[in-house]
This record gives sequence, C-alpha cells and structure tokens, in this order.
Amino acid sequence: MRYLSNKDGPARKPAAEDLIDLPLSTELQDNLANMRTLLQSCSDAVVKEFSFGNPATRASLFYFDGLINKQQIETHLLKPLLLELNMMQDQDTLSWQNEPDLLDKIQDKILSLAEVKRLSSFQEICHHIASGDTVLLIDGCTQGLVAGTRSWEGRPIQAPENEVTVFGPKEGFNETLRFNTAILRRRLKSTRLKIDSLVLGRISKTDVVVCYIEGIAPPELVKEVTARLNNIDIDAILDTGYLAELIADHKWTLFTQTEHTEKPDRVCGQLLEGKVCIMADGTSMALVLPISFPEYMISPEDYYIHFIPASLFRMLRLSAFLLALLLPSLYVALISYHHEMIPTPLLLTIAATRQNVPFPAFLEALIMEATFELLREAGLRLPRAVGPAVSIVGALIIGDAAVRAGLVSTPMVVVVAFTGIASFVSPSYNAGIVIRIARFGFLFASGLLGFLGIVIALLLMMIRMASLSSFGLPYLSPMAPLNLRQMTDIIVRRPWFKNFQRPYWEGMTDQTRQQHVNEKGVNNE
Amino acid sequence: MKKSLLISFFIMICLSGCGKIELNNAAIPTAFGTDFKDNRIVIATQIAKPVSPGTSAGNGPQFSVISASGRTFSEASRNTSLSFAAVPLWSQVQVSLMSDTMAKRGIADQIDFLIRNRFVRKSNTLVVTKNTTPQQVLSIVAYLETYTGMAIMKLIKNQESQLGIYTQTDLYEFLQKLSEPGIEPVVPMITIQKNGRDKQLLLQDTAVFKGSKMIGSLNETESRGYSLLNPGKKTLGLFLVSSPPNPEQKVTLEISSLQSKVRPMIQDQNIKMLIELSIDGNFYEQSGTENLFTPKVYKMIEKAAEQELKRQMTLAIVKAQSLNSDIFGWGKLVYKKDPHLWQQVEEDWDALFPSIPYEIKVDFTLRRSYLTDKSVVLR
Repeated sequence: MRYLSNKDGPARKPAAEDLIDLPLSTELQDNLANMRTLLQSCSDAVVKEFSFGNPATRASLFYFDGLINKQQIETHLLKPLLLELNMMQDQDTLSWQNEPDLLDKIQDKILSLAEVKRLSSFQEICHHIASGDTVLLIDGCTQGLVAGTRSWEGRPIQAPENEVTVFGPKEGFNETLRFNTAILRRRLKSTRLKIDSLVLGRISKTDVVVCYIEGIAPPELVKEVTARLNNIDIDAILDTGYLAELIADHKWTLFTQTEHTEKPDRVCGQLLEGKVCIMADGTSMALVLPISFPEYMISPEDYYIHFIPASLFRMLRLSAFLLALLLPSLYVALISYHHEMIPTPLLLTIAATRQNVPFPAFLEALIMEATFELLREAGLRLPRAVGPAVSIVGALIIGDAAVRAGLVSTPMVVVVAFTGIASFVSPSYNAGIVIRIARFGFLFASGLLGFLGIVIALLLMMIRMASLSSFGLPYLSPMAPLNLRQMTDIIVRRPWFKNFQRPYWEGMTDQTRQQHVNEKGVNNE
Repeated sequence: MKKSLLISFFIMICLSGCGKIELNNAAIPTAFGTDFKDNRIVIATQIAKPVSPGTSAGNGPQFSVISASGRTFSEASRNTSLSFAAVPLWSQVQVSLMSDTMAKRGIADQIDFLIRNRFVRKSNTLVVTKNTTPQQVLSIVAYLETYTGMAIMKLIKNQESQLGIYTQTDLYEFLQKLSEPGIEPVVPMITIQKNGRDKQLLLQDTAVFKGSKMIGSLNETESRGYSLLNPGKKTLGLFLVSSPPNPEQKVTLEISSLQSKVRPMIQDQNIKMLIELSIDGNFYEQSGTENLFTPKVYKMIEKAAEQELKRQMTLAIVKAQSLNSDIFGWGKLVYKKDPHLWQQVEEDWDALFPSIPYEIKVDFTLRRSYLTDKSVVLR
C-alpha cells in the first residue's frame, strides 16, 4: 500500500475528463492506469494492489483516506480475501470458472460486509470513493465491487446555538446528512416518511434529500419541489441557502420564502402540516417550504407549553415584531411632525434632552440605527475572546459617551435599544433580517413625510407581500386570503384538545390530526 | 438613477418636509392668555424651559412669560416671534386664559381665531382672570407645579371632583353653547391671592356670558347651585347642613350619586321649569358628638340636606335670571319639548327668561356613613 505520489511531474494528462466516461476494461492493468490518471494529485487517495486466492488473482482497492473505516476494510474485506479464503476447505468456493461466478462468490460468500454492490464505470467508482466507499477491482472483471465503508469524524449532535428553546427537545441537526435523516426517522417512525434523494452539484455531488410525509404533503408540491431541484445546474451546493434562492418563486425580493431551521422537532412539526423539507449533506440547515410570513412568528416551543402562555407569548412576539419594525420611525415622526400626539410632560423631557443635539431627529435615528447594526454585525464576526470587550466598549460609547458628548439624545438611545431587543424576539432569523432592513425603509419614509410616510411604506410593504407566494402558498396566508380556521393557530396557539385538523391547502388529502372526540371521550363523527 | 437617489437623499436630510418642526427649533407653551389694553390685543404666553432629567433646575421659575400685542389676535400671536426665537407648538396648550376686561369687551373675535387655528386644541380649558391680567396669573409659580398652565388645569379638575363648585368648560363646549340658541356659556374665574409676599392662584367665581360678552359672575354658592343644575355633568362634592338636634353644630354630607331631570311644563303657552333631583349621599363628618344615627334624625338630616341643596340652586337661578342669561339651557329644553312653541318665544326669550317660574324638588337619601357610625364619645 502506498500513497499515490506525483512522480510524473506536474504535467497532467488532459484525458482525465474523457476517461471518466469509459466503461471498465477486463484488464486490471488498464483500469489501474486509468484510475491513477483520475486520482492524480489526489494525495488522500489510496490505491492498494494485492493478489488473492489460488490461482492468484490480481486485485486492487481504492479509497480516500479519512472518509472510510479502515478497520472495517481490514477485517471484512482484506482478511477474508487474503487469509480466510486460503483456509477454506470448500473446494467450490476456492475455484471459479468465469467472471460473474467469481464476483458472485466474493460478494455472497466471502466478504462479510453489510453493503456491497457492483458497478461498472469509472464515473461510479469515482463518485463512490469520493463519498467514502471502498472499491475493489479484480483482474478479468468488467465490474467492480463497492463496499459501504463510509465513516468520518463529524460534529456530535448538539443543541442548535441559534434557535434556543426552554422547553422541547434540544438536539439539532449536524453536517452529516445521514444522521439528520436518522434524527427525523427516529421522530416519525413510519415508512410514510419519505426521503427522496438526489445528487446536485457538478463538482460537489452533494446529496440532497426531499423529505415529506406521504398522504399529508400534497403530491403536486413534492413533484414541483423535485422538478425545481432537478433543474438546478450548478458546480457545488455548500448550503441549503443556495437551494432556497435557486428554487424560490420570487427571487428579486427581500422576503424569503423558505424557513431555515436546525431543529428536527420544528421540521417534523412542519412535515406533519403537509410541508416539505429539503436537507443537504454538509450543512445543518434544513429548508422547510412552503412558508407564509405569519408563520415566521411561530416558535416550535409554542406547541410544547400550555396554550394560554403560548398564545400570550405569541401575541407579545407579534407586537415586538411591529415595534422592531416601526419604533424608530414612529419616534422620528412623532418628534419632528406630530408633536401634538406627545403628552406635554413627555415632550418637555424629550425637548430637554434634545436641546444640544446638532442633528435632525431623522439623521440621529439613522446614525444610531446604523451604529447598532454595525455593532451587531461586528459582534457576530468577532472572535469569542474579543467579543465581550467590543460589546462593552460599544455599549459604553453608544449608550453613555455619545449622549454626554451631545451627539445623540437619551430617548433615542432608549428607542434604538428597545428596537434592538424587540428585533431579537422573532423566532426566525429570516424574519429578523426582513425587519432589520425594512426598518430603515420606514425610517426614511417617516423622515420624509411623518406618519403619512409610514402609512405609505406600510401599504407598499403589504402590497409587495400580498403579491408573493411560496410554492403557490400566498405569502400572507392565512391572513390574506383570510382563513379563519387557520388564523386560530397564528395569532394565538390553538389548544391541542381543539386541534383536530391540519392546516389545509390545495391537494392535501389527509387532514385529520385527531379523531373528533368530545370532552366525554365519545366520538362525534 | 443612482445619482437621483443620492440627490433625493441629501434633499431629504437638508430640507424638512412640510409641517416638520425639529424640537430644537420649537418652544413648548403651557398656557396662553389674552388681554385688552389700550385698544390693542395682548397675548401672553407661558413658555416652558425644558430641564434635562438629572440636571438641577436652578432657582426661579422654569418658564418665561412673553407677551406681544397687535390689532388682531393673529397679529399679536405672530408678533410673539419678534421677541422669541422659536416656533411655539400651540397644540401643547391646555389652558386658555382671558382677562375679565377682555371677556366684558366680548370674545367673539378670540373664539373665531382659536377655532380657525388648526394648532390650538378645542379641548382647551377656558378660564377668565378676575381683577388681574393673564400675564400676572401666568407669572405665578404655583405650589408643587412647575408650570402654571398645568397647575390651573389640575386645580379646576380636582375641585370639580372633590368639591363640585366650579364647572370646567373647554373651548369646544364654549363654542357649542355660543352658537346654540337657548343656552349661554359660563367659565370659571381665577384670581391671585396675596398672602404676604407670596402670591398664589385662587379659583373664585364663575363668569356668566351672554353671547360672547361676560355680563356678570356667580359666587361660590351660586356656582355650586349651577353645577347641580348643569345638565349632563356629574356633580359630586361636599356640602354642610346644620345638625338637626343641635343647630349650632354642622354636619358634612357627600353626594355620591346624582340624577337630575329638568323639564319644562308647558300649559297654555306658559312655561314652567320643573327641576327634580334624586341624590344619594353619604355621611361624612359631624362637628358635634351626638348620636345622629337614629331613623328620626336621619330623616331630619335628609330634609335639611334637601333644603340646603334647594337653596343653592335657587340662588343660582335667581342670579341667572337677574343677569338675564340662560346658562342652564332652559331655552334649549323648551325647544326639545315643543319646537313650535320655541319658534314663537325665541325672539322674546330674553324678555321671558327672567320671569320664568320654576319648581325644585329634591329627594335626598342618606345611604351610609362608611365604617364609623357613632362619633367618638369623649369621656
């Protein structure tokens, strides 16, 4: 066994791209030569040549180091071939007449691996070894054997850092697709949970899965999602974010039409409502679609705690959403246009603090909001060690020194701080981004026209949102078009004992969540 | 495209939109008052000096009173800008004062100015200054209150709920009464009480208007009688009656609920006003120590209370009739009861009103005395 080295020098044969489409030849030497060309400069590729059996048959083994479980190859592949085969008494096993016979015997009687299958092109070989499988080529055979030996170091299952909940399961997805699908399967132990797989990315060959529950998710939706995914022709998929943008209904808009989550319980909840989840290998972010904007305000935790506090928290979240969106612009409009709406004592206080501020209120708000965004963005990127230091300096400078220097007024600091806190209330990061950006639009509108400007901007935003859809689901549903039954699970959280039906949309067949049972436990239907 | 966006951004920052007043350029008036002096209209405005929270206010009043005069109200108010370098936000004003000279001259033009002015709130409380000018009233630093305007406002509101003597009148109500036939407005009056070198505000009397001119005033008892008769307002508050067993002593009663009904009785073109009051009251205080809590004394107290309330109302009516100003809105009640009759008498209402007979029926019920019944027995 040796690592392939680049002995021939840096000159590469341009034939590699043609080679990959060739079928396997009967001569191991030819195959080996081709594989060497393909694996040129891949320092992590391992090619092991050996011979086994009696009469001795040449064979070679290909894998990428680091992606495979070496021990598995040694005990279940090499050991049976090199040692146990020679010790076998069964004459029938020790001899073979032709190629299919040989492969059959090795696959069925000698190798003690769980996953073994055959393949017959370099294309497949390359794909499999790059995915962590081990390929065995035998002299005289036009087919190779591939052994499932994928095993690599991954992040353990951890609680997602960005979606913190108090109640409910804590585990989150990690970067290995198989683990993620297993987490889903563990929660929904049914063969109705379908996990369709496809490979995307010309170079990355990323495994992408489309998960849905058969009979709940509308078949047209699944078909549409798969079709859109299959239309993608890109060199690599590094995160599901690529997919979200590539398959969106409306691409030129701030409003994202998919939900990103790392929480399997959230995904399962959505699957049970007939949604489709897309996951990709190499990322812990799952996409859930279709999604409407009001659903961004829903936290999975709402469904784990009692419905009364859950409903109150949800209303709190909705009002925090509005505040985060509108508070700075409302403040600017109030103190530069609509003084009559402020009670006199409050106006006096504000006037006193603003006495020496050199900027108009609009500019002051703009500066403060921009500074806050800057701090926030810097806080994300800062190394952990410097993070607290910078936030302390930021807080001191913004909160105290700027006020003392007379650059900003204290109420403005309060408003910006309150807005900042309110914007973190949104359970979805995507909705948070929308709020953060739209807030500036509202600020401009209010600086220009006061309340009138805010109303115009709100109208424009509502018009835009109403014109969007996510995979056919209107973006503002169930508010527009109004669906009162579903509204009972948007503004408030519907109690579980009243939650008989899944939210309905086009093409959904199985809507029953609970059998309709009245309080005495008698079936009403 | 990009250039035009950039330009519009700068325009937005440099120029202000319509109606935009930065707080730095604005002043906050808490009250204003009008006076008539040397044939010119004087407007005095109390402007608050905002003090940042946390910094010491310093000595002296936290406001300045500036006045300016002109031939008309608009001119006078605009002339304020000659001596004051900020835009007053008139919408913050809660109290509008006028001097008694101004009120007696007639305030039709002032009302016109205030109604037209879109910045002045129609909910402004109106107050007439008695024997003084608004400028002097606004210069007084009231107890505990930073701004005189707010102090006057609170003064009127609190006495209305606690004592029930003077009735708050806002600009809107004043205008309404002014423009409706068969009812005349009243406005509470304020004066300055000198206590050594200390000057304080004092609510005293109610100005009675006829049309837009002040023609007289009601004293405290008459004002209270007016507030009992004033339809549409809940009047509560305390009053005293003589203790039935011992007329030397006084008993204080509190009105807890009041239902009044004023109806014109029309017989053969003759109008008679029938005033019926049904009042629930509580026992509040006694100056003697006798036991008043017997059914017999209770009845006597109730009787005495009825007498007292009747007296107050009669005084108010007598005063109004002598001033010939229909402040109770009897004309309006006649119109509601019999519009045809009102059409006939409207022209002569001024001649008719002073001699309209009336009958007052008061039904006073003493409900309770809270937790204490007998007075503390001194031994």
